[in-house]
Amino acid sequence: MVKERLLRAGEVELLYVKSKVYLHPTPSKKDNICGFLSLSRGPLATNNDILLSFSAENQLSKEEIKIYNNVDLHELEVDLEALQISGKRLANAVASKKREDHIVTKPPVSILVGYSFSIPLSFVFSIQVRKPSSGFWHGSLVINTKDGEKLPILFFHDNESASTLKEQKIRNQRFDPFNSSGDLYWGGDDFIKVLLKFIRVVKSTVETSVLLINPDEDDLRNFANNRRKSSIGGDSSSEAATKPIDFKMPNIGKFLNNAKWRVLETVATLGAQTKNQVVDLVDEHAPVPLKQLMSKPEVKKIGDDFDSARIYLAKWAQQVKEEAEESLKKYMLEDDIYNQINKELGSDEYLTEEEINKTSRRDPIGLTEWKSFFDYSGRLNITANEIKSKIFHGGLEPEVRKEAWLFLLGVYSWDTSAKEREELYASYETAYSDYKLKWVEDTEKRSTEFWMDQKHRIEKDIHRTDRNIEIFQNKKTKRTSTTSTGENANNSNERESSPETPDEASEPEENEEDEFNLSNIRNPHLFNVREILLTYNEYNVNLGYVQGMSDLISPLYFIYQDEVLTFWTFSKFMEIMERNFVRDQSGMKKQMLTLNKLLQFMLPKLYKHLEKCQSVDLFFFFRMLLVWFKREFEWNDVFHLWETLFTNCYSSQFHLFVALAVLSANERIIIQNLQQFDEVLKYMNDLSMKMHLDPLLIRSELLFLKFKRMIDIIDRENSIARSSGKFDNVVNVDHELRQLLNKEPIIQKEVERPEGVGGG
Amino acid sequence: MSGKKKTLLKVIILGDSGVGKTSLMQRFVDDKFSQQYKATIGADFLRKDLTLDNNKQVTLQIWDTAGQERFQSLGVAFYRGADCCILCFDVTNEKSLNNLTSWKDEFLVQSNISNPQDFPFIIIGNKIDVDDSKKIPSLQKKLNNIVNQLAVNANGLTYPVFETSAKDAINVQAAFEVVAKMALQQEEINDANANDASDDYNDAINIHLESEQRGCC
Repeated sequence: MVKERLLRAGEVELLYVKSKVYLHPTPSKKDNICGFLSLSRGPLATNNDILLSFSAENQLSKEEIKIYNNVDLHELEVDLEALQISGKRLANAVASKKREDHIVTKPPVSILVGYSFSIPLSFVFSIQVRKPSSGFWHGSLVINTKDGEKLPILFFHDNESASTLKEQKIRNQRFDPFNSSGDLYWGGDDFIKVLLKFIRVVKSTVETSVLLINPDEDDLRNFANNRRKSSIGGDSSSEAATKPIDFKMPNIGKFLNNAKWRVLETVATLGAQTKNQVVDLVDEHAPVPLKQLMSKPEVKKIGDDFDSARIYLAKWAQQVKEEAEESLKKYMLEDDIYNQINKELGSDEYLTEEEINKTSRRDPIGLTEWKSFFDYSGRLNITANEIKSKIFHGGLEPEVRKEAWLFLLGVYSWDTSAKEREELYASYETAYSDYKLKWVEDTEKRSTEFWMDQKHRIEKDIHRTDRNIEIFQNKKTKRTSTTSTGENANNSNERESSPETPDEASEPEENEEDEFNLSNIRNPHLFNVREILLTYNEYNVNLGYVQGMSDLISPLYFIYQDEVLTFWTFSKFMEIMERNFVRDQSGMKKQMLTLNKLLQFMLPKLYKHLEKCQSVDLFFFFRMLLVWFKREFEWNDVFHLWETLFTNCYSSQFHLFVALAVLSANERIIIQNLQQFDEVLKYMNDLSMKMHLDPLLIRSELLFLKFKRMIDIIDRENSIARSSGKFDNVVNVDHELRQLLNKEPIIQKEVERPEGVGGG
Repeated sequence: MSGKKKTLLKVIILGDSGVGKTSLMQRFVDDKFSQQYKATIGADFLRKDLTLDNNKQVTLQIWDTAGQERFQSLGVAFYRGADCCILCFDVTNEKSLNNLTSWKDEFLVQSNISNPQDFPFIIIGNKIDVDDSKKIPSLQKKLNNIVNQLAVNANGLTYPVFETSAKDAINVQAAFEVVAKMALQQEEINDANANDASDDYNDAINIHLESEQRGCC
């Protein structure tokens, strides 16, 4: 006979319990928190006051655990209808005696007391139901409170929970493993079923996995489509309004991402398996979406060109990761991307809400918005810093670049008026032709070995730079002035003025075989680029043309398609890039050293691993740093990345944070899969054209903010230490690291070319 | 997969910018050609398995590098453990031929090779597909001079010379087969010499596929 008694203060009656519900505070299994999900009612409580609680096992007494387990296992046998209490019977029910074996201490009503939490049903706004994928990931519930908070996600470990296992067994015996909606039964089903008995639950018509708890009219409007809402409980008769919806999509992408990672974790730790074994493994265990992904030709192909199991796995993992990020872009709001990256970076502990919010992305600046920054005289009516911050956080529409890059690169200063800029343009035009004449009119110069070498170098490189871009492709038509495109493209007269113009008469008919004759440039745009580079070679005599510059100039030429503006934007760009090209390579060495220090500071675990791989010289970053990731991203992304870097919004060396973000995004893959210098180099080289820029930029910004915060903390601690005389406690921050906080560009000029030294 | 571990041979291609280093490598490894390989920045490598006459299975790891001299000073890491070096020039560009000596010297300085006199070099003159009129005048004579000059300190070795066209796939395969044989010899010398186990670098990528099971973490 079960004893019954009245509830005392501080006690509740358990109405429903599910055992083996977990929180997953980190991706690591060992950090999982096991506990009970329960619904309970205290004395004199209405249905709205019923507590929804998660109680961590380790915070309950042995006796209580026994009671929770008992309710979990046996309560479902009780007729659920009996639990439903209509308003009429409420007082009665509340006052009645309770089964003693259902009474426990009231779970603490606060969010997160050592991972336990408890909340009255009236405070629950919505519950997102995420069903399990059989044998692969756990079903879970995401509870959002009325305050807009998201409680820790509850994961149902069905294979451990006594009541779920029992119910599954019963259903299997009845040959009815499905729940009422036809889906496979899982632990969360019971909970929802019980919930319906106590409170009105309405399924969102926008996202049917979201259950709205006791929603009011506004909630319903926001969560309803034009279709009628479907109510799965309660008796709501309110019509769904037709007002446009503003509903946040749930974290499907993130969810998918987690799922993919779980497969990867399993598979990638088997690093030494052959790829066939890997494929078998995936076939056996992967869920359908992942299998579909795996069968994509581009993913399959990865296996074909390289047979080292580790690189294969690493590349494959990277590919899947990119896919996952792509899906984030599709399904997640920007906020969620930050949260995800943030969580991974662990920046929560370093950054304030405000700082994190600052990183939110905006739409690119379009022409209308750009024009609105200027007054009638063409002067800025907002500050340059405001514009830079907008550009940094969203970039520019292509049609704005033509004007905006002139400011960004310092061809025009931000405080000029339209009239002043007109005058400046005229002087730029004159100056350009003066520099150009220096080589055009000097036949002696053009016959020196150095000059001819430089010309050869330029021609060789422009012939193989971005030839897939339309304006740089050879047309099948005969060269005429009409092949010029763009309003500013040079006319043929100017072009013929160059002494390096091939003799029209001697030019062979269109002939692909003629490629080796480098001087014979048929494409008018390539021709212009050569003129500009030859003039730059004269303008910056000490540096001259160096390989890699053709990669830097081609996006600029693409924007302006004009010799004068391309020349000056290029020259300004080269002021900050000159240190990449100096003869002794000291500028590149220094940047790689700074990056090395930054890596140690920010990602010490990865640094240690790269040390084992003999890769801490970071040579694999050479290409990325030399031409600012030009070879790593698609054509359109290069513009976006560069204008972000031009702003010097946070640091004149923000590109090093982009590099750090590349490493950070690949940290796990590198540590788990790569062990040798050449493996690391191959992996990093092959990231080319496979990275997504937007998530990387967000990651870079967060890394910078975290870096800055870390320096701030060190400085603060240092000043405390100094003021209390504890000088031993002072931490010295490396000069180069501190310099990363500087927004002033670092200029390093090439020294004069020593006698007898060529341009190589 | 066979249980036998293949020998990994590391080959470095050097030469002036634009002589066709990337094209030669692509032709040999993937049997393809494009006019528009971008100028190499930094370094990269490709691998190719090869069966030699004696049925010996080897894997060539071929390193492609940037041609502009100033970029060499940073990229020395990948010179370590090289088994053969290809000195490459363009048969239409006399300067690229004349520069072979400095490329060889540069390599020996940077690579820290233990037996510079015996180290195998091979010379490849690329772009023989172009019209004779564009080629270096009296190429054979000049080439012989350079080759003799290169071999001055080379213990009486002669360095093999190949004239190739990466574009038309002429002689590329043959040249790399010789590269593989020479590299294999060098590798065996290295193995014999260097019993100090610290030099596991040569085992670069052909690593432990069968032998090693990594623990699950």
